[in-house]
Amino acid sequence: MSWLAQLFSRRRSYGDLSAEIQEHLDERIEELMHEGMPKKEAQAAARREFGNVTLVEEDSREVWRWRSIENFAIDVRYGLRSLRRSPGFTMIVVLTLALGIGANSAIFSVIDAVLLRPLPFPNASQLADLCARSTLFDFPHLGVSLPDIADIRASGTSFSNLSGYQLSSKEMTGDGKPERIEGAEISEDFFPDLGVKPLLGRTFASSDMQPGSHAVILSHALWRDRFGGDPKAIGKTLRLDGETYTVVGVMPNLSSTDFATDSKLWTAFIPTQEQLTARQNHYFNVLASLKPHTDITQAQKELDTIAARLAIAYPDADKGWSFRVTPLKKSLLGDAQKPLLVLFCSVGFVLLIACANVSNLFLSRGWTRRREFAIRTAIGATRGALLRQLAVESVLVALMGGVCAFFMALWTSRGIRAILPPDIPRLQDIRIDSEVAWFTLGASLLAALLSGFMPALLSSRQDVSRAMREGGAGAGSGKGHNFLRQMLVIGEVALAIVLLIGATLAIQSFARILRVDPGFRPDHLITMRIDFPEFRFSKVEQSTQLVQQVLESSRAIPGVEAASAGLVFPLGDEVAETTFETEQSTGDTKSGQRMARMNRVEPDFFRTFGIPLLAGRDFNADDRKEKAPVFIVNEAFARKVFGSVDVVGKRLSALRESNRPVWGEIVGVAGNVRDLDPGAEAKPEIYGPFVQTRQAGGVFLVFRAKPDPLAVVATIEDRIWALDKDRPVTSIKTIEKQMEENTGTPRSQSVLLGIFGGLGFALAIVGVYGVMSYVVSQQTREIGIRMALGADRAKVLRMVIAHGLKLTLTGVAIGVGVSLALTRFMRSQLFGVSTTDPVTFGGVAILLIAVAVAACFIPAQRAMRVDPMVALRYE
Amino acid sequence: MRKPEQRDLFPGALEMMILRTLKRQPLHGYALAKHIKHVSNDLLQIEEGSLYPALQRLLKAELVKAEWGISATNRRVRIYKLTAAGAKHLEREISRFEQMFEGITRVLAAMKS
Repeated sequence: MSWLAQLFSRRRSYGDLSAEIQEHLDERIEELMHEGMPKKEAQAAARREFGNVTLVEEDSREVWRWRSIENFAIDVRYGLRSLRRSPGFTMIVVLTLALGIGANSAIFSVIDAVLLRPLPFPNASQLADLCARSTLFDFPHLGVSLPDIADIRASGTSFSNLSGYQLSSKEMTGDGKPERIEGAEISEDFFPDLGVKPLLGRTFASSDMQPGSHAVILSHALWRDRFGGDPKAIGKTLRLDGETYTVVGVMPNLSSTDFATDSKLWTAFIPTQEQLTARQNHYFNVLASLKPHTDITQAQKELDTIAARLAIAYPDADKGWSFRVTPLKKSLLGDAQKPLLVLFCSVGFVLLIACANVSNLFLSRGWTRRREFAIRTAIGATRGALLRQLAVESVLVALMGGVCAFFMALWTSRGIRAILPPDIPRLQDIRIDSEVAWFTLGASLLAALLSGFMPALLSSRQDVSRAMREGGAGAGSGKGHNFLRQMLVIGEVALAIVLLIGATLAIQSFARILRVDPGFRPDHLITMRIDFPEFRFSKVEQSTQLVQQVLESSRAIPGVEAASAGLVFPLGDEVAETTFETEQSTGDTKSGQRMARMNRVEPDFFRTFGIPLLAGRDFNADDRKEKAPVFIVNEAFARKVFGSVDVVGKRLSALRESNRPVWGEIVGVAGNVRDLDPGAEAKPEIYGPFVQTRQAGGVFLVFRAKPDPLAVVATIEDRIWALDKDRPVTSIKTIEKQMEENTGTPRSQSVLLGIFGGLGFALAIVGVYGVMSYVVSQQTREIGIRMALGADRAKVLRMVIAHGLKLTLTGVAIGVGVSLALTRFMRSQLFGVSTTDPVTFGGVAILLIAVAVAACFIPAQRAMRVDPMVALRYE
Repeated sequence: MRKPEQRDLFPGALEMMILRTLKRQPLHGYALAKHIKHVSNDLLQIEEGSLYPALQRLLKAELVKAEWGISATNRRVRIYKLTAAGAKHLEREISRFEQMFEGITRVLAAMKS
């Protein structure tokens, strides 16, 4: 008989079986009656000899069944029915799990989009970033010179190709406003190496790489904005940096990864003769394609050998330099990894706490259901069957929780994206998709296992006769139950401590960042940038003149209180540095050249920003280019270099000409301007007059305007365009906005960790409360006896609270220990607060203990009100 | 649900006895139970009921077949017959059992001496 035929004939054979067993019994009864036994007795005897009819029938039928599947279906049906019977329990469990799983799903959706998904380049797994490091500069990612690239290409065996690129923005003029477009100059095989094919047209060919050729590849965004997505855009032209470029290709929409592929357009990198030969020009970015099956450590070893060889062969250019190869994905996403993993850890803890609570609820429910289990055991259910039943119920509630969690993730996704700092790569790719659904399913099953396993094991351990005898309420629960319950409370208190400490550290760090006095007044300030590309500004005077004209005409705009300009500005994205010498240090060969921050500013810079001048004077119109250099230094510089702020009149050099320092005079001392890092000292800084700058690629204009600094932007732009109609104005931003961006990561980290910490805290307190309530209800009789024997109410109260306190304290101790081990992973994200900050640790511990005691107080009061008469009669 | 094997003497023993009994003559459930009890001199404590799951397993494995018929006492009964496959299976099982039994006996004898 095939299994299919069996399936269809099953019902009939079940009927046969019942009939047959009935016949068996009848025959036996008849026989016994024949021997002279009364009918009733004969019936009982026949049944006794036969055994458990139902069980025999069930066992016999089971032979024909796909046992596991069908029993499973029965378990599911039974489980659903039993959950429906206790809607309160079901709702609380589902909700608790939904919170825990939902938080995980939401954070997973971020981690999936940012870290897990492959880069949008088909060849990504073979690609690596190749950069240089130098013992001279404290910067992890420096470029490589073209001759060095050629040497690596010639002697390296790990790489199938090296392609170069450098970011270079271009001025786009023509119709409408002049714009500065973020672009990149790329070598011919950049896109082929990435494996990205153009949407239209082609990528660069060798003919495009010749001097004088002007080919441009458009990004999807620029193609859409500038050409309206015209499918015939190939061959059209664009005015870039004053030259006409021909569109040869359009790339598909690539998600942003903080890489050269984020550019709006790409032009061919055509090296000059100088770039091809100057080994000290360490500034080209290299995209390395590894040969298949090449180990990255092997490639790194090879690069080390090459670097050592180059350092010997070209000590002037390459001494102290080394190369570093990093898988492209790691290189692009490495920075985003740590904060996200900290978040993931914290939501994981939230889920564990949720599971502990659910576990507790299952324990209590198992205890109240022991009668049901006892009956099932009595009629033949094995422990395995009970276990399976409980497991099915756990999985059912976890799956319901998972479904809710998925919708929660769906609804909170937008909110979480808004909280995350915008500089995280691929943030726009966050989606609640099938990956998240699978993750949610996995998390639900894990939650079912974590929350249901131990209670199921304990609840299924049945002593039938005892359970039947003891009946309903009052009896103390089993030893295993109580032990597990206490472990759960301790565990969740410990986890809550870890979460809260992490969150508090992040919040404190952020609060300290906000409290940092930047050394200037950040309100009502707006900055904007104009650039001075060489094709328009062959002489530096042209640019300084333009800046002065713009400032002069802007100062007359109503609302503008002050206006100035500088190469960089406080808290900006860019930092400029210079080497400097003092008369002391020149003679001293040991100290040699030292580094300090350097800014070139227009007069009124300090007044505009509200930076106090501590001594001397501001720059003025008399500080002209042809005169000897003048400097203003900040207090930190004065103290560090000269040991006092009394430095006006001292001589300083920030420039060497024909290997001799060009000396100038310090005319003023300004207050320190600080980065938003509460732990960091103010950096020594030198200011010089903008007119005395030797080159200027661009400048930041800064205006203090009231009431709304953004209101004057349009007028200022008009003034600029009245002077130069093709001058793009970029990076228009208030300083307050800039500060918000700078603090984006600590802000989002403290908000999210705060949310999850709060969630974990609340769940843990609910857990403590729940367990203590349960303990009290279980101990009603004991309390009654104690009271009957003369214990006063205060003593009972103390007893319950002491019990809760003992558990909480154990949990707190463990939590503090775990936190000490874990918070160091947050070190890079904390500013101005130690990872083992005793105030945070102590404060969080005290808070949790206090709230836990308060939570115990409610059940303790209930215990206190126990009427010994009622409690004892209750039994 | 409880596994019937757990109540067996050893796995397959009950099936072997059923097959052996049916080899002699086709029987219905009650007669089968009675016969086994009788022949074993009531030495083996077999619950009558446990016969049925075993019979179902044998049916499923097609070692026996069943037909409704009329018994000697004029009852409507389901009569089990050994199939060819059942006979072959029985032979194999018996020789396996004898081997096992001999092995156990030798070990026990060795212990005694």
